Amino acid sequence: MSRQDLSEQITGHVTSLRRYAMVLTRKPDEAEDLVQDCLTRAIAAADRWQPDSDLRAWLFRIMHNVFIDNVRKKRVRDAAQSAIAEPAEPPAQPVRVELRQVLDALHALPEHYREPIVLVAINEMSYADAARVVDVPLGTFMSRLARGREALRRVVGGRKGPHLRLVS
Amino acid sequence: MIDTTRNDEVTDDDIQRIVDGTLDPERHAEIVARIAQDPERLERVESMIAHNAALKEAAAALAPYEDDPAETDPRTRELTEALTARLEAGIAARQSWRARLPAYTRNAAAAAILVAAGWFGHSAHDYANAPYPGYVADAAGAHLVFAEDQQYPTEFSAETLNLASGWFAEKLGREVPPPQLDAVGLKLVGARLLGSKDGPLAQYIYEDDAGERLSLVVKAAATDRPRAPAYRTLPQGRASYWRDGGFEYALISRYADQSLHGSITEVSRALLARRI
Repeated sequence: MSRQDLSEQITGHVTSLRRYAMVLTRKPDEAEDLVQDCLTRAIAAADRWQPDSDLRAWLFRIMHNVFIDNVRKKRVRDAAQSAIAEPAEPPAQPVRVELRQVLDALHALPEHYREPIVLVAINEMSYADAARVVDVPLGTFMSRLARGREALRRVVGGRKGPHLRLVS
Repeated sequence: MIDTTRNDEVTDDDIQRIVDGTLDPERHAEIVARIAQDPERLERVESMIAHNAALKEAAAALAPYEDDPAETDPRTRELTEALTARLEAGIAARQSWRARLPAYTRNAAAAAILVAAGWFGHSAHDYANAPYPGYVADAAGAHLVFAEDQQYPTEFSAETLNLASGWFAEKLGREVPPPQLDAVGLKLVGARLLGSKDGPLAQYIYEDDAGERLSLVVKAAATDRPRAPAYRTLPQGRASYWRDGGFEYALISRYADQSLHGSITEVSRALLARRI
């Protein structure tokens, strides 16, 4: 792999990481912090990356750890302060109101449901790869994906979506 | 949960694959036909498809791939460049590190190699729900609480640890020279003593060149019989544990990366090499 290829690959992966972080957090600043923490840890662990392994999956595993650590820290912080619901900041780019509804509903789910849904949706990652990213057996992953999607559907309130040619 | 009792041929997995469009066309048609028999279920699945599509669209809108480099956060850009450089440098560094490896693996007798082989066997099967000793859970907790603390990770720094060796020996029941893992690139940060329901534990904290921390927790064993390393994923990180020379050992790293297998194996080997 040439230096140019590697550099392009990484730049693409960083955008994927940002997408992931944006969808998970809905907050540009928080998302950028997650991406930067992830990159910092990746730099620290660079020696352990096997050149023949999947770089994107490796970066997403690190991102998953960063995200989970942040959730834990936030929980400690929230427990310390009085728990006042934080309003979501407006996103950097405006998104359609239907999309916002789904993003907000996603945010209401526990993180162990949120992550599988987002990993599969935005990365088109195989279930097996995504299960490795969140470090659970495939069966557990599939069950979380199913429960998560069902929960998301309930939170959105059964909003009738477009019939995407499921039945013609 | 999706109710599959009314049509037991459609599983939750089938439904997820319908949502993601990952079934082969024939199976897809078959499952869709079955789902369509139940209008309520059909609507549920269609909602899931719509929500999935909405997430894809939102992701693309929130962070477009056609990022203007001038708009990218400067620190993110710096870090991205640094990572590219480190991955390249890492490849070269590992090659030279591999070359050094035989120097100390030679010191480890065949027994150590056998244990390491058992270790690799274990690592391939990570039984998340299998029971593990209580001190391993305590060790993982101690790692989470103390190891990442940049200010006061330890009671005794590496430099002052010799002052406390008598106290450590008294608590652990015998002399424990702090395991030196410099050979595998791990610098001793320091140590602390912890109480647990199974008795006193000594926690040694190490740091690699990149600042990643790892805990080695040692306690007196009830038996001198050795036990080959086993490997677990715990909520707080990854753990390996084994028994050797009258001590129970647990190695914990929060870093849930598959390549940790390698680091832990090297540490195990270094400890075994020291003992032989």
